[in-house]
Amino acid sequence: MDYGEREHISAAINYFWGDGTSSPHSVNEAAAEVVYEAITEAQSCSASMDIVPRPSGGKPGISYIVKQVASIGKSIVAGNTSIYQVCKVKISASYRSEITMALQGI
Amino acid sequence: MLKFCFVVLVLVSSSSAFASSAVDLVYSDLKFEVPGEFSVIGDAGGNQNILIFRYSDQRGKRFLAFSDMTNDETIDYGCPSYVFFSKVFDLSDNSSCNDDNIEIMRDTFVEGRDVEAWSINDYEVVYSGSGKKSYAFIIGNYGKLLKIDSDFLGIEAFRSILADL
Repeated sequence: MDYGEREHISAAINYFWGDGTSSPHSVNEAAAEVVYEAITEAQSCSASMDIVPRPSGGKPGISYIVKQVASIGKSIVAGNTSIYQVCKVKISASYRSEITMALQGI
Repeated sequence: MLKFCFVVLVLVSSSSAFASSAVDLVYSDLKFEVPGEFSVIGDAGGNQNILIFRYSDQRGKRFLAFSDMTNDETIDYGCPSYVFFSKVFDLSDNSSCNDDNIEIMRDTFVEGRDVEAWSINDYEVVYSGSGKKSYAFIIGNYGKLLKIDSDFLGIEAFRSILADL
């Protein structure tokens, strides 16, 4: 995960769970996985996920997940937040514990 | 040698007794009884003052988390957060709340889930559970809103945790 991906994943986390939840330094693969799981579990959010071509078969690997979540963060940084508004409401309360644990290594 | 054996025996007995018992927790001025077999406690802090107990050796798995959402502003509630969640679970009817977000929250915490509500002292407790994840919202009449969630405990465990608020 390069620094640009960290910045964008952090932006996605701070959009969904509030400013100050993460920083590029605190982002890790586990946190990216939580964002990906939260969005894919919330079915009405998953339509917004197909930005990067999805690998065929089975659970996607961590490099795919990192790219996907970073892409969402990049879109959010660019100001395109309206398509993620419903996702934010859906996952802000339901996945806060998981993102907190992932970011803090608990 | 005899003295050494006695000390070891006491330590093992104490350890076993602790593992099978509940532990009193005071969180946000309320008393809870959490299962005592946790392996990690994490004071994650943040604006919701999150406290996490983990009951496994694997990060992020088998957890019990406490969050104080009283002053949460992550989303636009349109009304105090405790009023908002009262309306999500049909415990009140306040027209000032953000109705669009109420419907989205109902989709998350009500639709297709086991939902039960009960009262303890001055608090309404709403349990929302599925096979994968359980939540309890503790809603006070004077503005308090706490959330408890777990990826492995069900309603009976939640009732025990909340039995003595």
